[in-house]
Amino acid sequence: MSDIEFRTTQVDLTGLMTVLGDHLYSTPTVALRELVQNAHDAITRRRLEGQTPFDARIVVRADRERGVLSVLDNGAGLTRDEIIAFLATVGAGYTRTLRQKTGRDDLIGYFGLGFLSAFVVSDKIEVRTTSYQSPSEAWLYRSRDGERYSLEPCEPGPVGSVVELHLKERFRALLEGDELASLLERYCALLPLPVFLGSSPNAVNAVPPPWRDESLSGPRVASARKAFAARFERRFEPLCVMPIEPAEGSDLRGLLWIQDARTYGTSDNRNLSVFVRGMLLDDDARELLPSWAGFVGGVIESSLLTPTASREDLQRDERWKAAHQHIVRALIEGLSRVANEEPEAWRRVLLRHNEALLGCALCDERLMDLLANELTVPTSEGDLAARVVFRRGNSNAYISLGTRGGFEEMLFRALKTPIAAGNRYGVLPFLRAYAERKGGSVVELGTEEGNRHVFKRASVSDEDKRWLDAMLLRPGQRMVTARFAPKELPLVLVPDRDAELKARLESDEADKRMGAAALKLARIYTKTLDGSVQADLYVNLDSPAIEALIAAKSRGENAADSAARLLRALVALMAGWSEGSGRVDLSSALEDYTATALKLLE
Amino acid sequence: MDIWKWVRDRRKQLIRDGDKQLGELLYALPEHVVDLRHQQVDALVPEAVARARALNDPWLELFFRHWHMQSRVLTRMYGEHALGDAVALVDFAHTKETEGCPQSVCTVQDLAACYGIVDGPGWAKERIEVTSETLARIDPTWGCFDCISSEHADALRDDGQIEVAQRFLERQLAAKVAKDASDDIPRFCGMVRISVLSDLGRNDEALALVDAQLVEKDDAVGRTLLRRAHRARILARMGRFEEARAALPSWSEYVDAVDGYDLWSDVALLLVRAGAFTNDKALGHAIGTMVARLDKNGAVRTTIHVAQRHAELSLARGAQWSARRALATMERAIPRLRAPLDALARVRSVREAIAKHESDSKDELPESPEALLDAVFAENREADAERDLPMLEAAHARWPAHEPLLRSYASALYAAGARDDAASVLEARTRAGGAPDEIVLQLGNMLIREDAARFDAFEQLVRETAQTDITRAVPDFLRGVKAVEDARWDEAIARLRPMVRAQSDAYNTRRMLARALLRKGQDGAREALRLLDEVEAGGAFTRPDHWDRMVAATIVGEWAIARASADTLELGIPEGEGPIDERWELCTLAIEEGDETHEFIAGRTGPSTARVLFVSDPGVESPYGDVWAFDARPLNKAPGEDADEETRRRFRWTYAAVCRLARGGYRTVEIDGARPTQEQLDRFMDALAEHNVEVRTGAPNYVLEDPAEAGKKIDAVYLQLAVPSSIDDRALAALLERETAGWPRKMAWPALADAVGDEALIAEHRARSVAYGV
Repeated sequence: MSDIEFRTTQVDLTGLMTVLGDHLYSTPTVALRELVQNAHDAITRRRLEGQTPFDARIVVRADRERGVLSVLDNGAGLTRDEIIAFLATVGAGYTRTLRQKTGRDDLIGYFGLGFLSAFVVSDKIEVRTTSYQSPSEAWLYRSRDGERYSLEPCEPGPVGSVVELHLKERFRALLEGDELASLLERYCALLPLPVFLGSSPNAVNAVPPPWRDESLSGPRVASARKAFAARFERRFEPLCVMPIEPAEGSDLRGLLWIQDARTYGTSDNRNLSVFVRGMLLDDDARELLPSWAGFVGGVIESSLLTPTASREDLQRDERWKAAHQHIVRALIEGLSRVANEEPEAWRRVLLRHNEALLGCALCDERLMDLLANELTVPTSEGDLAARVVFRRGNSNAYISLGTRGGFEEMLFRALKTPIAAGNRYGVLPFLRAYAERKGGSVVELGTEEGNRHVFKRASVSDEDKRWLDAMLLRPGQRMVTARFAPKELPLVLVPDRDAELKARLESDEADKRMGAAALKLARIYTKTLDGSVQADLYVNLDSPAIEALIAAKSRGENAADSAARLLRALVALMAGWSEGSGRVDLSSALEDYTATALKLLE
Repeated sequence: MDIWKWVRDRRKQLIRDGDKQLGELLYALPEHVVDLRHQQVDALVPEAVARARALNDPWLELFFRHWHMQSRVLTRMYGEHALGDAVALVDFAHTKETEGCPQSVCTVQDLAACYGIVDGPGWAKERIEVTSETLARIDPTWGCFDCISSEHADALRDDGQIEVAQRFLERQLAAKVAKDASDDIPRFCGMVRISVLSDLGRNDEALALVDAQLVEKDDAVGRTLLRRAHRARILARMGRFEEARAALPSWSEYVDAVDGYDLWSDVALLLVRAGAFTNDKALGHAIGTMVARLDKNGAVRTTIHVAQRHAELSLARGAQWSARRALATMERAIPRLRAPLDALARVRSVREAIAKHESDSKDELPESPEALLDAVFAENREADAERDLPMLEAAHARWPAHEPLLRSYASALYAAGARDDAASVLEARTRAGGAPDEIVLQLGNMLIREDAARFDAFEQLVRETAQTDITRAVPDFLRGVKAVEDARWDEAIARLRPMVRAQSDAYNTRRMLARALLRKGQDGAREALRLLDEVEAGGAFTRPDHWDRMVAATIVGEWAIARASADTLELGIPEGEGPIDERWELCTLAIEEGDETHEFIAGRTGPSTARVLFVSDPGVESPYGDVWAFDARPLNKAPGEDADEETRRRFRWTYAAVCRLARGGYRTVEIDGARPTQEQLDRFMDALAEHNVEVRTGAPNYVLEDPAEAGKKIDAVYLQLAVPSSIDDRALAALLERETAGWPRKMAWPALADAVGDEALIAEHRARSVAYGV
């Protein structure tokens, strides 16, 4: 046994320090990824440096009984010195040296840390390797912790390496079921070398990504894209697929898709798998997708994106920003294309994601162009397209903010004019943006502005006004003569919220609940409000009842007074509709009403 | 109390109670706010507030309303316009239900900040007072210790007490460190510390501080932008202009950082003065946009500051008009300040600079308005409203009665974004009476898409001033055109028809009216045809008119006319007479029914007709076989040039159906059962096709119970048949029985059996259905 050497791993501190802060390489899936990547680089190296051509292959095996996961490659292999220099020196991968020497960008490894990752999940690691430089000798490397290891000659095999991980008990689940196959399918999907699982004659990555497959044409393009997308979108079916092509300043390629699942406005199911140099680097790079795209998944590859030292994330540098822009553009163009060219899929996209799309349209002008006529908003008459809301409102979109629910809202319901639900996601800003683009007005019911719009001011003679004031008003109310529909409605009482706020904040009670300086600031504002009017009484000059009332009064008929008293009682009843405008004594109003009715019947 | 702990707990609880959406919003809203995603904030707040109310959870409501206020006030600089809401929120935050909520304190801060945004220096004393009051109630462990301290220091700074502010900040920092060093100390009161240090001329320290703040990753988008702009200002103040230029975020990425407009415009001005920044149209546009937005939001003091810079920069690049506009904005803002302070001096200085510039650069006007317009609209001259406006304005002042000049002036104002001014110029001319129709029309066109009240006022103005019926009809014409655009056909017809009657040469009105009439059946089409004839007689007929005429003629069955138009349009209709009934490509028909639009696949039978090929579900009136005339302006766009072959192959044009020419009279019958061979199925379809019955097969992979063996599944097929009225139910049932006779198993059509009404047949098909497990 004199051939066995016992040695200690050299630590290249600069390399290691970069990653110490992160909990790097903590799952067997990451270890698997790193080992496949090392195998890939070894093959690339043999192709670069070796003389004789060979059929490259990587084989992954799961030995359930022994609890061993192994990765075999017929790449360059390592000499004894290389094992010491590279395999066993943390932070000094040969790949980096080779990339610097050759300028090749198809080498994957970065930090020379890949191998280290395997120790986190293994009780023991064995590497058998035969270098193309000395095919007649082979070496067996063994270590339990990556720090101390033994190195001995062994029976020479074919050129290449076999790495065997004796997995720790708790990580052996990886060897069971289809998990390994599904992982490799995704991890190696873009690797240009064939990767085999066990003795299967078919490589797990035999099907190239559709954007690299030049043999595809006709209907097969679409189905290949969908099938590829389905491998990555594990939670939902892809509804339609949009390609990303390289553009100026960005080599990004890949696919985006819309998920076939119903979303709310604020759902965020984004997922994006990012491949750098053929290996899956980040399977949750959702930030690269725009924040509004909560229903979008994707796979992209780029050699320009830079991984962070942890290898599980991307550096947010200028290239990252460019990639982000590129993806946003591709997504918007892709959506337009689906809208124009795949009507059935587009219908489904709209059906599934209408609410989320309201938000999207607000975030990007191009999407607003695309979606303005397509999206619906919830209204009192069901979900209606924005154009229908404006059409039925005669170029106005009436919106209820849901918080006030005043009488004027009842009024529109009676008129069968749809009222959009302003308290639902995106509705108010979407309708505003629509109006800005296509013309029309958004009328918020229950606001001062909205009331001005609904109750068109109109005047009567001063004398009539004085008489109406005297007959109809109660203290704190102000009369506004106006014209509005429906004409069957003679009066509407609308409380003044500002006056209520003023009353509350200027009362002594407010001193108890609020700090003096804060209250002072608030009162500076309420002082500017007119608190004398607690409610506006809109009198409808279009109403035949009001018309007749004024006419009867002008003729000096007694009935005018009785009719006015009935209407005054009606105001009291209506006040019950809108809370806050109360302050009207309902029982005395009812007494009044009855008395007047009796008098009329006399 | 720690508000974030409450947020975490409440979120968990909401998710546990099944309200994941609302729970997620507790995190999502603040993130959207600090990352400047204003649109997303506005989209989700109303719903969040409504749901908090529905849950009767005032703390939750307070949280959402406060964060909306943060977004509107602190990041978007809503001043005057948010005051009412800020006061209402303070009121809401100080009730019995909300008094324990730690976020209550923040609403006071929102209100103070709101006043600070209206007029920071003007309200400085009150802001100092209110923040002092709050600071007395909290200690450094509170989340809001940072915000309130910042606001206090900011108020001191606005009050000109820079050194007091610096001492105060040092004290607060020491208190913070003593109590809670775990926090992010470089960023404590981050922005105001940078400003105060730099104001004191301690730029080296300010730079070190901002750099320390920028080191950390994961900062909010908004704050990072502001820090970068601060860094640029410090460098500019140190005279390191090139570095400052490089540090300043671009306008395109900065657009949403409204609270940083003051800072950005300040740096831009310093850099332009130093020759390190190009003072071009793009810069003018950026700062003009800032002024407009600040002004609109009611950030009065900041509006004045940024407008002053805008004026200086505009004059420096010879854009007098923009400078004067900036001055007007400043003048309008002054009365809205609490106290003018230095604002009057700023206005004076801008006014003097403009006067000086004008006396220095008095351009001679050409000898006539025509010569001026020739010069402005000379070929190859790049359109630049900002450049041309001073000349147009001067010329308009000199020749106020020259109408083409007035119209060009108004257009230039509109193009430069001065929409109100543009409308005012035209309004003034209209008010003077006797304005030509072009002017009234131009004004109306500007206003029809604006606020409805504005258009009402226009209508009133025209009523008062118009001297001819034609002028009087302009508002109605515009409303009519808008109604056509919005597909309000009845309204369009009601408005446009009287005009057509009154004016024999109103060709455009005729076209518009014809388009609306096409939606009104035979009578409408006949009237449309007449109108289009009048357009032709007037010599104003165009290619699109031929299309409309062809549609109208098709609807009323005037095939000779339809064919003549089709020939003119070179549509390749074979010679002949009578109805055009070709077998052209598939298309999609968009058919409006009330508020809904249904899209059906259809086969085009001519240039503007198609037959629906969609087989509907049973039980509804089937559109199959219906023939429609459609508007030949497609609703979609063809695939781009880069589209692949498959996409091109699948592409179909979509047209808006305008009038149903014939009913297909089909009904839908369904069949279920074991799948026959493909050959049997094909034979079946051929046999039924001979009776004009169309067969659609349902989804593949359809399975049913095996009638022969319980629990076993068999491959099955689901068929929908579009059946013409020429075959009655009994004949159909017989036909189906005959044509499926050789199939592996008996098929089931219980609904058809019900329709036939034969008891034995009904029983049999029900039994078959049950056996299939349908």
